[in-house]
Amino acid sequence: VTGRTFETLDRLEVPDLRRDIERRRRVPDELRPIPKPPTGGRRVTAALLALVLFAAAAAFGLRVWTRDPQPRPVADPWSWVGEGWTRIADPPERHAGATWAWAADHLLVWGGCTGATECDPTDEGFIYDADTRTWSSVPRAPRPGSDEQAVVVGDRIYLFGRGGFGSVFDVASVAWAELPRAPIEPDHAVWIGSGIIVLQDAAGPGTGSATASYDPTTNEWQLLAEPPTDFNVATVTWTGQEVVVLHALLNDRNVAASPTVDAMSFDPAAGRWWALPRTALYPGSFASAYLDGRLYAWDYVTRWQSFDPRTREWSPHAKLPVDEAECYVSGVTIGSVVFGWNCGAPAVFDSGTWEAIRGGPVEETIYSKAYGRKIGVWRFADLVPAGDVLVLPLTGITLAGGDGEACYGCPGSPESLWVYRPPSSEPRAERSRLASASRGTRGRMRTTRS
Amino acid sequence: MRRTTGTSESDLGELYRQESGRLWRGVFAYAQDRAVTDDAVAEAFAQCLRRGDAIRDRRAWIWRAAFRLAAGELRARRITGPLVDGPVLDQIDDDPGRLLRALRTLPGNQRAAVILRFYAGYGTDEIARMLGMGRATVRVHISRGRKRLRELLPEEDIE
Repeated sequence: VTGRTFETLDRLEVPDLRRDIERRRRVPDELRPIPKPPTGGRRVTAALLALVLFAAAAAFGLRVWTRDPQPRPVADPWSWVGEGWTRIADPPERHAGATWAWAADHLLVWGGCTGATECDPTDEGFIYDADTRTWSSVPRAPRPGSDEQAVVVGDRIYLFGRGGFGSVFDVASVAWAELPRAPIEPDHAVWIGSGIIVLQDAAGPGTGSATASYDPTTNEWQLLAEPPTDFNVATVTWTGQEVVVLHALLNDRNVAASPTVDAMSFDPAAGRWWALPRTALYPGSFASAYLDGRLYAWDYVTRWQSFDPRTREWSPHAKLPVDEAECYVSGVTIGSVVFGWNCGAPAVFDSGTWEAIRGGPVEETIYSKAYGRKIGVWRFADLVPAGDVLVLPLTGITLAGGDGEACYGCPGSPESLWVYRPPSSEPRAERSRLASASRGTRGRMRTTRS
Repeated sequence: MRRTTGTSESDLGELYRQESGRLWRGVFAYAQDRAVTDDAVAEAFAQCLRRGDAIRDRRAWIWRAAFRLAAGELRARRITGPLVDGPVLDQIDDDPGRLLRALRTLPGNQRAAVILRFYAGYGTDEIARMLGMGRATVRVHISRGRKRLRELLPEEDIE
């Protein structure tokens, strides 16, 4: 019986391979062995081996269960990384504006700007196998890109770039595919369990903020209801019920239209937007992360609050245990904690309190004659949740001229790659996977795209 | 479906005319990569020519060889992190495009089994020999693959 559906394959155009076949036939050395599937003997061996392993695992599991009823942790590719900071090998190449993402126990770094003065995006990338601790190149993507939004869904990394162009990298098959063009600029993106919601920043009069969704199953886009308020800085978080958007609208001089960060939510089931109480945070730069049913948010003057989606109320604001710094802040959920990065001063929220993080790159300083003191080297970080740990591609500062003023983003800026494991991090949990799938919780000062 | 057997080179030319299109499309549906498909199909025909009369059922042999070559190449690429150009099928926004995308969601052996069953028209025994697995396993692969395709393509006829 042949399904009619399969007959549609007959519409595919077939190349003429006769010349290639003839060439191969005439050069016997080019004929190569045909791979054999597992034989019956191999299957018996495999079955016996599986039986032995099962028996051993059952015996071990029974012993463990008898001693301790806690569930066994899932195999961790970062088992060789201890608590705190661990520096890992840099990728063979790394460009400003590269996109980082973690899927299927591999870390992808892709794209970025290759030009010395202007951004010339690349389509090249590399992948890090945490288990073997090695980098290898990946095939060139269908298109180049820089500063893209990455959303992880299972083994796949969806990348959304300027002009609505997108591509997907399947880590398991090491293969790229192009996505249909988005109907809006995907400046923010988040996985909501059944699809990807993207939001567009307002770019000026006539080009307001917008919302759309992408369904990986049907490979189709759909325009959704427009947000009630325009924004060009935002954090986007999925709570399991709604997409919470903290937002601000900054002008070219980074002056905000509202004195504090505003909030709204999108209900995908109803297709509607709702206004939420505004925060007490400053809109220049802010970050948020979702943990245990609450949204934690903070700003660059280190004020923080939390929001309860059920009561729709913000907690009173308090101070983070780190110094203020006028630059971009970012944050992410990792395992059972919230990690905040505040211009080189990280802090972790665990068991109801924030605590500053020391050690590793935080302690690396350089003496500035202009400031008359040592200043931290590592200022900028991407935050990449990677199972039970956080991967941080860091970019440092250089000291400019004779007076030693700090120069941010100048040529020759140092780069390094670190892994941070929170103290006593729990085994991989569902919320960790959710966090991995919903990066992009950083609101930052508006910058002009080149 | 008609089975073609024979021993001469002209028979192979006839087999190419009859079978190459369907074979290429079947392997492409499985590998979803033009380079892998071209290589596997050309290599299968070339080796069939070279082996001459040693092959009894050329059609079955070529299908088996092409699928195994494609599977081996896909396995090798996954291990060494190499060159797959994938975007072709996503540019096809029609019936075959939808079927290809649905097939891509199936595990490799399941995908091969349903293609060999529903597109190439092979029976369970032949598919089991081609893929090197038991008949019961093939039946499970076909059953699960068909169920998954029905979910993804509810409007289609997959019997």
